[in-house]
Amino acid sequence: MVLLQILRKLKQKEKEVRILMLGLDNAGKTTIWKKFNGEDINTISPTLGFNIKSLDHNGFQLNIWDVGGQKSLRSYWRNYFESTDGLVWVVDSADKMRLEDCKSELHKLLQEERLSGATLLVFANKCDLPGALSAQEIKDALNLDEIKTHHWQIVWCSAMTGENLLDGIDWMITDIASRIFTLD
Amino acid sequence: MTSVVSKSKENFYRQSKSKGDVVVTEEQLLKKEYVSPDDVLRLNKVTENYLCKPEENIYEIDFTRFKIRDMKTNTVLFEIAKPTDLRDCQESEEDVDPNAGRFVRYQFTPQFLRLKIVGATVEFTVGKRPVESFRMIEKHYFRDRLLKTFDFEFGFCIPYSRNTCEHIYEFPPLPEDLVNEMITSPFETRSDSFYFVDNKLIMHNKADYAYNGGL
Amino acid sequence: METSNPKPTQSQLSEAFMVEFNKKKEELGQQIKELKAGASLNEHLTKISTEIQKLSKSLHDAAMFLPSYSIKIRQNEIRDLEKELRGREDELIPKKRFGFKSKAQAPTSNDVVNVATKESVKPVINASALGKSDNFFTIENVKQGTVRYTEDQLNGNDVMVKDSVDAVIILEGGPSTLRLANLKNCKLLCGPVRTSVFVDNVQESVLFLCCQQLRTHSSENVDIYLRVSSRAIIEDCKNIRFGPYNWNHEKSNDLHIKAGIAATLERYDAVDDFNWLSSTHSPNWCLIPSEEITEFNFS
Repeated sequence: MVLLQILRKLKQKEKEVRILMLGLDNAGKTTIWKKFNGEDINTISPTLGFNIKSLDHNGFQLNIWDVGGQKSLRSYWRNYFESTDGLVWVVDSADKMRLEDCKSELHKLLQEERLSGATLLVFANKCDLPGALSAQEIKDALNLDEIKTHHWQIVWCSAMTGENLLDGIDWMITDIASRIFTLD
Repeated sequence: MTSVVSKSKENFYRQSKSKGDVVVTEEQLLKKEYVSPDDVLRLNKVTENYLCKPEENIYEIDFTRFKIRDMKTNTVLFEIAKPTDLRDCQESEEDVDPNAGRFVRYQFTPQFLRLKIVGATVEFTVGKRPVESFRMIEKHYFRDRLLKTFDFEFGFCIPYSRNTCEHIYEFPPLPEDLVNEMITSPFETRSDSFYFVDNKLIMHNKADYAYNGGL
Repeated sequence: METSNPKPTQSQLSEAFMVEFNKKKEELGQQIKELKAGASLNEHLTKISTEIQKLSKSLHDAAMFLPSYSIKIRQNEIRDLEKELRGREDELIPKKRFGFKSKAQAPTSNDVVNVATKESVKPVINASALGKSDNFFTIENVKQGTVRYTEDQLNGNDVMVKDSVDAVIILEGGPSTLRLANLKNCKLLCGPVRTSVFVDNVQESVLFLCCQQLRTHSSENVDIYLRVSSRAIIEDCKNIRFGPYNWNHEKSNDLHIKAGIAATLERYDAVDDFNWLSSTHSPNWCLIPSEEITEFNFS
């Protein structure tokens, strides 16, 4: 359970860390969510609601929320913002046609007051597909350099193979932990 | 009924210390108009009755899947799922026991109690009303000993949504003699699952467990 | 023991790798120590950080011949390097790491500047996906007539079919993913797709699709002959009809196996309409009546 090891980074102050995974439909959110601890990813239906993983370790709780990204569900996203420590924005790196959409949805979220304290991790997913853009190109297309309000990082990954998923989450937890622990 | 419950002998294993909270009894709760999360957190043993009626589930929340897996070996140890089209056939079964589906019986082998990390998944669907704040409190007991409490706030649920939650946790370390007792006393390990919407109990499910499979 | 085997043994590979690894590690450690404040600091930080990523990548590649305890130790060493770099960065660009006064508060303007400085230093963790875009297979602007692509052309590719009218498009097999956009009055036949199919703005068409996942958006009057291993969804669609995908072809079995989909799977009627979240049946889709069902046919 590598995720539990990552949890060891958390120290006394925060008992519960909440991570919210959003992104356009077909980005691969649920596949990532399942791949974290090796579940079968071959029969995932598009998410009509949410999926939660709640990990308990040494009295700490890490909750990862994956909320459906279909257009008709996006208006419900705001119901899940409260007390979010980390926002994972999942991008389908091969979906060039909807990058504009993807950018505007992301920047809309970043203006949300209830997400203002959250660390942002952008997963450039499906980077193993032949037609995929590189993380650098995604970074430019989504105007990530413009983001001054959140700690952020972009990480390429493949939900199918699991590559880089834990590295990304590891970065995020470290960032969240460091922020919390330097409180005076 | 004299149900003055003494707290003292309950503090054996992982008893959540209720910080001076007064223990409540099932009888007291049955008299209440509705039961709150705080109420059930103060219960110190498994209830004999359901603390709410099936029809109080006005949100049509329906549990459609339970799954338990061993995280170490990634093996599914137990899984039951309702067929997805159950909705359609339910209509025809008018005289079904209203408490069916509120109770699950699990039968495991003794090895189950040796597991280190377990993932327990529930899947549920929601009806036409949006659910503002959905919370689940699950309490596991062996006889009258509280082994574990799981308290989780789902929050908002989208109308007609299908949602899942996997709770991954380390098994509470149990002393050897207790483990042996649990193995030799099938179905004396029991749990109550309480579900609240806006702090009112709307569903109450029960389960019991045997660990003597294959013996 | 210096033997001249034509094929190096695991331990030889591992030794050679360790020599390289240690050399690089020491170099980087030295470079971090020598970092100085100044105009080119950011550039140096980025460079070292990229080098560390590379080192990490090389370790990843070496995983097949390194013993696992050794990988762990090396990983920790890489982590230490990163820590040192971050520590040094903090010294040289002071007071910028922890911009948030408390979790709930937004950063002050002062912190914002600092956070920004830091972010601009951070390199992107990058994939080497660039340059492969040639393999992104796009079929577009087919107006009338039939086009046909063989398995060899499509195998494992990300295939996009768009902006076509009155065409018959035959994809014999094996795309990794398939995206359809802006098709009108087309007939599209596709062999098993390994992951998902994404349909957007398709009108008056017939599609034969076999995949793990199907999402259909903003489409109207489309018949979809489907074999899908999860629930299919439609959104902003009207008059979509579903029927069974039947394909008898010499390569059929093989392609199904490659896609991880059972050739016997009969699943085309588990459909969620995301605009019709209700227990009653969506008015936007139905099944194709049996007398209207047509066969999947390449010829």
